[in-house]
Amino acid sequence: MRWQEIVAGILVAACLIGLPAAALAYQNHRETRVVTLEMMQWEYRPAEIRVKKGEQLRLQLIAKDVVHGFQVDGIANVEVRPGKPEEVIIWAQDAGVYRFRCSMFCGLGHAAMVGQIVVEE
Amino acid sequence: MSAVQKPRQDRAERAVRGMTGIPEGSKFLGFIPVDWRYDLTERFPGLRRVLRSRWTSFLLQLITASVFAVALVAGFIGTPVGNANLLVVLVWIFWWSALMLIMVPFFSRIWCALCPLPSAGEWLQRRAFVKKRQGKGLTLGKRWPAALRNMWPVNLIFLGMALFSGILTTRTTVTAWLLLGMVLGAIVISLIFERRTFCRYLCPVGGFLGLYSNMATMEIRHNVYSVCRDHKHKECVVGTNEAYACPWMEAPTTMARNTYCGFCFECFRTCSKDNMSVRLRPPGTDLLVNKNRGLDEAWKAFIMLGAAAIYAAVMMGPWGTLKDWANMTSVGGYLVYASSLALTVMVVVPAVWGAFVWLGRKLSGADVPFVRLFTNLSYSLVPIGMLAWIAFSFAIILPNWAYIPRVISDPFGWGWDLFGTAGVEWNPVGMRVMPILQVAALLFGLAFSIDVAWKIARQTLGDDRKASLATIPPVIFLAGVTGLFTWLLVG
Amino acid sequence: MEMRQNKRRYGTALLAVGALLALGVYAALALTGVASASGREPNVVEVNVAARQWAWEPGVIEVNQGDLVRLNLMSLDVVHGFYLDGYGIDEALVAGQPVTIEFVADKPGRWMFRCSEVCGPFHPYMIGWLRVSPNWYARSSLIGVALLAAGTIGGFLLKVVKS
Ligand code: SF4
Ligand code: SF4
Ligand SMILES: [Cu+2]
Ligand SMILES: [Cu+2]
Repeated sequence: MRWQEIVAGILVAACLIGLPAAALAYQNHRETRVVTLEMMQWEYRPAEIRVKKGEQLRLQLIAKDVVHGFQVDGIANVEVRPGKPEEVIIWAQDAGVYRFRCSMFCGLGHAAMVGQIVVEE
Repeated sequence: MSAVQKPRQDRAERAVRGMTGIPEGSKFLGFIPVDWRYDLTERFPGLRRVLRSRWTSFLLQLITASVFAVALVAGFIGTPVGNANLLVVLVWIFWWSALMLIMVPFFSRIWCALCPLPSAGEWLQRRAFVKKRQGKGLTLGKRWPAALRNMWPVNLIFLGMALFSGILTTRTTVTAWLLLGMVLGAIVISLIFERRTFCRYLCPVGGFLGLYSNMATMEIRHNVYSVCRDHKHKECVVGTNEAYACPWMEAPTTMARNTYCGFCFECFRTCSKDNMSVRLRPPGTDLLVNKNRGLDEAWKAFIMLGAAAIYAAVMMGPWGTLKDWANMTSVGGYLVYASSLALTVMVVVPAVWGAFVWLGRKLSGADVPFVRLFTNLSYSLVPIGMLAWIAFSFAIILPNWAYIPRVISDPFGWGWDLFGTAGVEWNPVGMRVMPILQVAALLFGLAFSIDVAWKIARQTLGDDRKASLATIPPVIFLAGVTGLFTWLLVG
Repeated sequence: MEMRQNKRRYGTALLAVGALLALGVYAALALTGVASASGREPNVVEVNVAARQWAWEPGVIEVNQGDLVRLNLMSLDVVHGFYLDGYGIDEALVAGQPVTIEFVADKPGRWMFRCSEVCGPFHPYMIGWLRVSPNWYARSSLIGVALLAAGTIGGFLLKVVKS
């Protein structure tokens, strides 16, 4: 009688709290290696990404509303669709400021949709 | 106890004539006897054992609740792109299609056996997850006000939601707040009122689940009537030490329609005579039950029929202006849209239908009150409504099925790929057979509705001649409605 | 006994209607097949179609079976896609860049063209209609509706006359 309720309670806690918590933990664990770059009309979040020279940057590109692009001249040019995150791996070998901008026309503010990767010594 | 020796005859007699007012010998579409039954619990004793276990309901709810918990989190903090978010895809593509195409037409309110929304409230109210706990639960146990013991509150709540369906189905956080609100609402209601008052009288889904479940090919009913009749201490109504009285405030002994039976299986657990059963039956049987019919349910039928047409126009139609209105692009446009939606389903549909029924009554010279004929005949709008929704739902699931495996692998739209299905391409299937399926559904719905209309007219007027004349105008209305859906969906 | 017979007759009536229905659908199919085969000169239909969040302009395109359809597609705002049900055509539309597609409208019926690139909240509802006449799906549905209604009403009248 009593033990059945306890088992049920544990199940409830495990499923209703445990599952979402596990999901969040999974995501956080990933984020230690990954930078998520959100793309929306008409900005990048974050607009500036700082890395140390020699580091490997794994950019997780997520389009939040419409199709956007991620273009760093000579390095990357990716088209990102909403609901289909893309990944870009950039190896920061030289220090400097690298600008990226949206390469898919995405409405009025398209031209203002820019950001930068700063590679520090 | 002699009746027990002839259970079949007894059952057929009670189930079909004595309690329900369905004339003996009625046949669904003229082919399948309306009183045909296939008793699953009798055929498969294992099923009865499963249903009798208190763990069954708990585990069913726990499974859906687990998925729901993750989905709700996804709704709040996952990607705002609806078709990449578990919550929106789960609810508005998967659940909706499964509900309309499978659960309601075949398995009645089986969804309510799985529904995670009232679980928290019910557990609190009972102060138990599985076993029945003696003594008072955590509730004031009030009864729902008598004046509101009908479908009107649900009709209004559903209408309120229906006005926002464009926003609701495309915005993840709006869906999340709505569902969270329902969970909290169910908790509050369960603390104040008895049992599943929320489900029976307030859940916006519950209204059409109830009405459209009259169409279902499955039912939960008492088995041998005389066993119930001779059982003076009606355990299913008052409960036992181990199991609760019907949480849906039905009387399983005399229950004649699926409308308010939430497939919670408590009556299998209370009944010491094992006299409850799950049975298959011909579709639409409950529409013919001449008991508890009312204008509240008639209006539910109008709302569902009207909403199906309007959604088909907004969501599947080529009119950008309508879409802008439904999307609240401008306040003025939205107000036009919302008020015409409300006016259509609450006034225009019933008024036009009323005119046709009135004409039929005049034609036939019948002397039953108009309101009675109007109410009763309104149940014949249920089949065509249900099948129009089915036709509409084909156009949701077939083009968009691919989102389902995608969100299973990437529920939050964060770039996960749990099961390797995150990359499934959006890829409509069956587009060439879809119109055929839709036409078949609509024609079947029309034939079904006509059949029901005629049977109800005969039942209400008690005279073949009068019934024939009285059914002619409604048949024209039904044909017109089917024509309208033909145009909207395949024309 | 009288009641029982009535019921049987009603069942038979429905059977008859069902058979008629099947016949009607068959006839519609045959007729439209004949009509399309009886050599009408195929036309070239050229339409400019604009895509915007979240509608097509024009929303309805009407052609005849066999026509050569040329669609000049262009997105006015963001990236959209043009997917045509039944034909399986799928083209991405980048804003400002015209795309022309050509196909023979060999499948009669009404087909939805829908956006295939997620383009905002109402993306799933960004739908237009291509009508390729003769639309025998709709025709057979309407014939079925007419037959069902006429059949039952006829049956009712018969019943009234007899009684
Ligand atoms: S009535 Fe509503 S809340 Fe209750 S179980 Fe059914 S769907 Fe869920
Ligand atoms: S207890 Fe009531 S609601 Fe539950 S299955 Fe039985 S009749 Fe239906
Ligand atoms: Cu952009
Ligand atoms: Cu689009």
